[in-house]
Amino acid sequence: MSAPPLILMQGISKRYGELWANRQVTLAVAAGEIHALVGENGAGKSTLMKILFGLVQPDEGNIHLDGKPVAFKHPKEALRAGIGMVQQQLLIFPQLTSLENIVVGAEVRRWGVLNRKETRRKVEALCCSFGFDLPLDVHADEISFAHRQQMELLRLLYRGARILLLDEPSSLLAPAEIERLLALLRAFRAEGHTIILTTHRLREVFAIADRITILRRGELAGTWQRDQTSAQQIASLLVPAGDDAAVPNGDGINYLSPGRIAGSLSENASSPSSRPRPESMKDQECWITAPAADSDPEFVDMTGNGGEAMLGQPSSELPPEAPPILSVETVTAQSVHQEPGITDFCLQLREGEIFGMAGVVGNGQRVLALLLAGMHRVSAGTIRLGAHDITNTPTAARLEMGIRWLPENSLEEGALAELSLWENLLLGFQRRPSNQTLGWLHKKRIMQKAESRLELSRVAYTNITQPLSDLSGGNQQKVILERALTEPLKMVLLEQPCRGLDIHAQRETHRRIRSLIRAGVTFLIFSYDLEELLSLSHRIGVMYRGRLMGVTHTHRAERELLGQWMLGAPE
Amino acid sequence: MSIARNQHPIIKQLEPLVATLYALMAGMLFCIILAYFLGTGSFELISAIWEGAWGSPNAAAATLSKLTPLLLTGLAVSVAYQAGLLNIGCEGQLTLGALSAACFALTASQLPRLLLMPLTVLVGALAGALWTLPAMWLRQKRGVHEVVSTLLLNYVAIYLADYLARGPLGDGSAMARTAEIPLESTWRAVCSVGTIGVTAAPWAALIAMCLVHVWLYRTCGGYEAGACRSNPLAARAAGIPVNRRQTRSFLLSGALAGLAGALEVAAVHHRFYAAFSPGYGFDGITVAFLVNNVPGWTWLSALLIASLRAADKWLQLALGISPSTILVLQALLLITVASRVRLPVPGRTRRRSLLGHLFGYPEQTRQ
Repeated sequence: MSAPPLILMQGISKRYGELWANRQVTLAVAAGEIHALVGENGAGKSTLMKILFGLVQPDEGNIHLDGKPVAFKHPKEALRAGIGMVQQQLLIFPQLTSLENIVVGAEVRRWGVLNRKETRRKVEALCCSFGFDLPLDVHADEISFAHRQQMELLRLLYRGARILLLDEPSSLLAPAEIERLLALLRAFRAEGHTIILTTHRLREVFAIADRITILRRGELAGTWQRDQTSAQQIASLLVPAGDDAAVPNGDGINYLSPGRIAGSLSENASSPSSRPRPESMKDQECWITAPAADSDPEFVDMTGNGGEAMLGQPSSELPPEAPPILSVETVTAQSVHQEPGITDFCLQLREGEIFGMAGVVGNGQRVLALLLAGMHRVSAGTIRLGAHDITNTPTAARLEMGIRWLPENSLEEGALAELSLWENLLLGFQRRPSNQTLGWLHKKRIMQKAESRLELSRVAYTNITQPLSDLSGGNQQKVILERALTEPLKMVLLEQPCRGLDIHAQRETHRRIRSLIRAGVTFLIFSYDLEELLSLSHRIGVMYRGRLMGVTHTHRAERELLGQWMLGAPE
Repeated sequence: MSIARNQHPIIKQLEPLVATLYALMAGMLFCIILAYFLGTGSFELISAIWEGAWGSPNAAAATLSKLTPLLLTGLAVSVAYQAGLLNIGCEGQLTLGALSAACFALTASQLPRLLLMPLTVLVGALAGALWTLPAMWLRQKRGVHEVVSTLLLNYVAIYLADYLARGPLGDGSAMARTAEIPLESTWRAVCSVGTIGVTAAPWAALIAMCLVHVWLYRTCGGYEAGACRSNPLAARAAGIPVNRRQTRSFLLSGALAGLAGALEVAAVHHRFYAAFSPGYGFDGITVAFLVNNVPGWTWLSALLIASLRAADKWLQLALGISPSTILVLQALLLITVASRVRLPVPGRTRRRSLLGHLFGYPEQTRQ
């Protein structure tokens, strides 16, 4: 690349407390290319993009755009310079139509009055030239997530952005929707736009990117031309060899380490022996005991740490005689806010099973979780836990029966941020006879218990009376998880258990789940990440518009079929 | 990603004290600036306030008599706040509490003193509690923010009481007041400060303060109320009936405000008259927020506000400054505490300041 790069970020550093989000990162992006930023969770990809977009100010380093130094203090300035960003969290006005969402704040005006015709013409021209299939006159809360994303892209193009930053654009899309997104990105490139995108999925990277930059723990690992590297090489660079992140869990069962990184790179899966052997004994154990190494060539371990023994296979076979624990019998329920309700839903879970519930975001998963947690009313049908009919059992009683719900944003929806640690651990169990007598809390006893539990789960804290918000995000999540796992435990509903967790915490969570199923606890895991579910669960179901499209055993799961189910196509 | 900010528990306990001192400093600064414009010495101004409140036994007795209603309305606001609600309607609850207590004492005058005295006070508290129910119903069924409804209900209560005192329940005079309640229902002076007798009412208020504090921090009910404030979603997911707990706290809040009115009738004025409260209900907001809504510290802020309130006439006498100055000073104290910047911490919802509560849009109402 002899021409000077369009964007040159040099020596960018950003520190959050003890943590380097970016450390001396240099990134050069040529005009008209698709540049992929790859790295684990917390590797600093998003921070780097936010710095370029002016959302975050770097501590050090400088940025050159077209050879001229720039320093955006605010996204407005970046937009003016032609840089636009689509963040993971989409920003929509639900009550406005797509068209209004696209043009809001930048409508075409004549004499100070909106010129709707001209506005529409401009947007339609954009749609046409790039092949968007977005309905323009539908309210934004009625369109799918993929379309909302298109809406955000159009919003940027409409404002004349020539450089598009996309943060994890594919993480919530179904396979076919991803294809459409990639086609759009190619169309942008053909028009001379420059795209920087972050992703966990190497498959997409190799399908579309011209060049690939890898970040590792906030530091630059290197930039490669796509055709001069391979998935294996990239994967091995993501997690450095000997990194403790790659140590398998103690029970000798290997599992997908960075669940989201593993793409379905079937073409690369065939030659596992070409990768270096692990060095430590522990790794070798895992090598030997990993059960499903060859049975499923679709799976590749992208840790690069000799784990061709990717799992495909969940921890252990579910004993065939495991008794059913939860049965949902033709349940119908109303919608909640923007989440569709569910209709004639049937599901049976067995004791000690991990059931993965897949589906594109907003297809009734939330309603199902709320129903099982007792926070939403069943319109018709029955829910049973063991022999008990719990259709109308209140939440508090379900907690005592052992049903626990860990919501997606567990901190936002489950944490008492300004209350103390012991109060957070107590929530939901404050009426237990061991915790109170006639309403008088046994504070001392509760606090002692809380201390010992936090020590066991290795939460870093100084005082049991300090507010939860004093802890780091990861530790806060640990506290909430610890509370959800209070005995007695029968069934746990997990929404997106590993979203936003770094690799260690993710591993820790998976390990915890696996150790609990051996004690007979059942898990129902809701995730948008098919890879995570494939690596963890015994069976996988797919929800579409409030219905269960199908259920399959993980080791017999066909990715194609699951993808079709996710988009509602019948078998 | 956030750096752990470790505070010693003792320091955390003293937070309300720090908040009050902080506001007091702002008040002093205001006095100095004001004195400059008025041409008096700033020391004279501050000492005049002190003189007016505590300069003589009689002044001290007057201050103490204001302490009771301020302490109780401050408690009322705190209790509601600790369940995630703002009760701006103490003024109306206090007024109706006072009126009901007076009416009850007048109609049930045949009861023996042992029954009549406590019942009078209880009826006042009950009336205050009931007056919060419309606001709760509006919030939970119709999504009306309680700040709006309680504020407006004040005027309904005040004018209703005004009408009743002038008409159907009046004593027939032109004074817009009820008849004097029977002696058996009044609280008598237990000691005297200067020439003024002091009843046990301030002690009753202090006991109420201790009870509320203990209830809030040592019992299941108080814990659940706190959970509702901290995160209603989490509380609901933990099986706590959020609406019912909030209603309970709001009832308690209204009862405390009603109690303030009833004690004013039973211990001080011995009757109800129109325009009964000189703003005790609104002062309660200042009292509560000066000490971060911690009930156990309310005595401190109530004492402060009572001193200011008692000093306003003295200011006129000693320095010729309008008594309204005290209102301005008090408003300044409230703004100082209400607008205190709270730094947002990542991963947690931002706690709203009082101003945010009043002028921000209401939280999403949950069914």
